Amino acid sequence: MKTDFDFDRPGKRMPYTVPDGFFEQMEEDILRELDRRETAVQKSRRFLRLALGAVTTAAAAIAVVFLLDKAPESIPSAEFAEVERAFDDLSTEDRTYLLSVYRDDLFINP
Amino acid sequence: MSGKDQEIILAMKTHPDRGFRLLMAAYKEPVYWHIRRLVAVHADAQDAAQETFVRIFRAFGRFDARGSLTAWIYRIATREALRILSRHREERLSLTADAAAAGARADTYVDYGDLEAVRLQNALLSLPTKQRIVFSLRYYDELTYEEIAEATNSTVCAAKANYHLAKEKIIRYMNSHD
Repeated sequence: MKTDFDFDRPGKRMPYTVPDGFFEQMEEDILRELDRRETAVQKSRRFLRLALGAVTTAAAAIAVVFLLDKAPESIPSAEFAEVERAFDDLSTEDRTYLLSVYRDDLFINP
Repeated sequence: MSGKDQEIILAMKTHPDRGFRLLMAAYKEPVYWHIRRLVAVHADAQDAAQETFVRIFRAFGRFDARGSLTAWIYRIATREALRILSRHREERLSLTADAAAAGARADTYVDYGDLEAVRLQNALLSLPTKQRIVFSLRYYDELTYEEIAEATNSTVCAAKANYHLAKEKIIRYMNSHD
């Protein structure tokens, strides 16, 4: 390989420059940025704590309202009479079929 | 590990504010120049260097003191530089007065009068990213191959191979752009 180029000529020189006082300013900028982010983290933590508290309170309020509002389930007796009347109207074969189906139903007769 | 690095690590653990100032005093210029050689543009290097130090401060608790502090810092700096490069993936990096005039990815903080230094940086910018990083860490920052392997999450053999490939390509570039 042709090795005319000699690394010693440019050495470690670089053509790049920086604005005057850049490195002194850089330290201050970094410290300011760290402060800014720390403050932002603290603010978001405070907000999260408040939001969590509000959500918990709302959930508890909803649960209380739900529990107080919930009445024991009751089936009106009129509905039973109607079902019995409909059953009576069925033919003997239909009644036998229905009874056999319900007797073998695991969910109704576990 | 150097005595200075040990002093920084101890100070970071006992007095983080003082330790961080020591760390910045020792590393701000090398870190900035390392990033600058990779991204070329001053504003990008400034952003990446600032983010590097913010990350160093916040992640110092996770630094394994059995490893090299220098390698750990350069690893974070390299990652930040790569983040900037991926943002500008489509744009070609080149240091020419024309590129600067055309508003391409070059900036005013370049001394175009030092022709040989400009050509060497252009040769560096023409390399694949991995070779550019390894060459920069070895040639300019004088990291050991072990430190380069640690900083680039690679092996010593790969670091040596990348350095020698980069060096050959630079020589070829410099000879053909004489």
